[in-house]
Amino acid sequence: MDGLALLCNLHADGPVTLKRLRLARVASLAELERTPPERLASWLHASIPQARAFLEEARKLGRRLAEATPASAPRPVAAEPRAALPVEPEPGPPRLKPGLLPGLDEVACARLERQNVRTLQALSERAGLDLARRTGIPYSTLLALARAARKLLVGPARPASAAAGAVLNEYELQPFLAIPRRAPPETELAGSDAFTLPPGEPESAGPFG
Amino acid sequence: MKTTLAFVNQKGGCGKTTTAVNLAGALAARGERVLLIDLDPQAHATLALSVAVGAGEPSVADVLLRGVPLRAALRAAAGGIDLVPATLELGELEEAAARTLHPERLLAAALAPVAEDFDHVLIDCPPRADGVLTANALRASGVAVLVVEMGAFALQGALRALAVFDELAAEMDARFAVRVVGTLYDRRAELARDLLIGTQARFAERLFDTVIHQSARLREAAASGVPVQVLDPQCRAARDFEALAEEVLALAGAPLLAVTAS
Repeated sequence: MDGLALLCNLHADGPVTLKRLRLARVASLAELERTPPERLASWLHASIPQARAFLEEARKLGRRLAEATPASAPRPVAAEPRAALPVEPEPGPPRLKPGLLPGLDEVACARLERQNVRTLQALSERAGLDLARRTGIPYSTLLALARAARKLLVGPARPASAAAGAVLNEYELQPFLAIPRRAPPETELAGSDAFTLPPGEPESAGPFG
Repeated sequence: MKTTLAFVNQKGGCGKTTTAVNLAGALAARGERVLLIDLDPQAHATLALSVAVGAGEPSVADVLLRGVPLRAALRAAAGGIDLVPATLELGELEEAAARTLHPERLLAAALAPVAEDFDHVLIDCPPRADGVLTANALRASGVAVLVVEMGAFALQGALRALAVFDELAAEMDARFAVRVVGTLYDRRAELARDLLIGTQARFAERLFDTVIHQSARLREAAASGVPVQVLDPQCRAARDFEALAEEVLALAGAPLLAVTAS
């Protein structure tokens, strides 16, 4: 199975889409990525937004496979001496400092640093009973700090004061207020099972024997 | 004979029998002459094609244990498949193997006289790769099809089976290629998609392009005693097996991907 077949199994119905692509003489993921969405839409009997979404998935998968390849390749045994490498300032992972997270004061920062927990990443990964015992930071506080660190790593960074002082929006205070439904964006439709599947075919619910 | 395929895995419930029966159905639907050999003492392929073995009727156990000619055990099954059925008695072969010289060569020898009568021979193996039954299947086959379900522990089972293949290939001086087919795939499940990516990374060109999706139709077909092509030729499962059959036909003309399992 090559990358193209993998893509068709991951994001389309598999053999039918793969056959259509091969009939159109698309031989690889790289070739597919260069295909204009209008042309792809006509090959796959899909809409242009669906084709665009499929191309986006092809690019993502292409990147993922390309990243995986050098990692699996054997590394050279003799590495170059460190001194020979040019020393460039690296941006590095976000470091812990007082006020970065709600509840992260100077004392907690110092205790964490003594345990080699200096970054948000390290905090999010190492928070646990053992670290709580070693630092003397209460376990629940440590978990709350780790949660906040993960949020900060995943989402857009914003100052702790804003996060701590955020107030609920009006609609969030009214849980039974009906929220108007929005139409699903076209990219979501492209990712659905409707794509390239004949309508009305029963989907499976369980394993086969 | 174009191809002889043995469907193998170290674990049960991964879709070996379903794949063997329905691939046989898909090949037969294309006009190919297909022989399916049920080499599992549980006789699930025999049951899936609704063949009953009465008292005195020969089965694959008689072929391997008592030297009955394979032709005598042939049964016409649904979908145009010729079947050599199994019975529980087949389990005795493991014990009898201790008293037999080259017990792993019995099936290959039994197949030789009928080789020209069929285009494809498919062998459904028991759920252990290291027994004498699987050794027989691998000895008689050109291709070992490792059936890997897209679920938890699938890769571990597949890798164990590969290790056994390597040992068997060395011990028996056998020559067979290894191909992998993914089964029980549900594209809606993130785990299944991740496993498919991992399986593709591990097996690359040995993994068939076609992945068999989970399907209620396959269970219905087995319960009805027919291949899915007979039950509902338009359903997704039937299309999956058509695509797999195309790949198997292409395999018949291609050189072996690997001489041994390694």
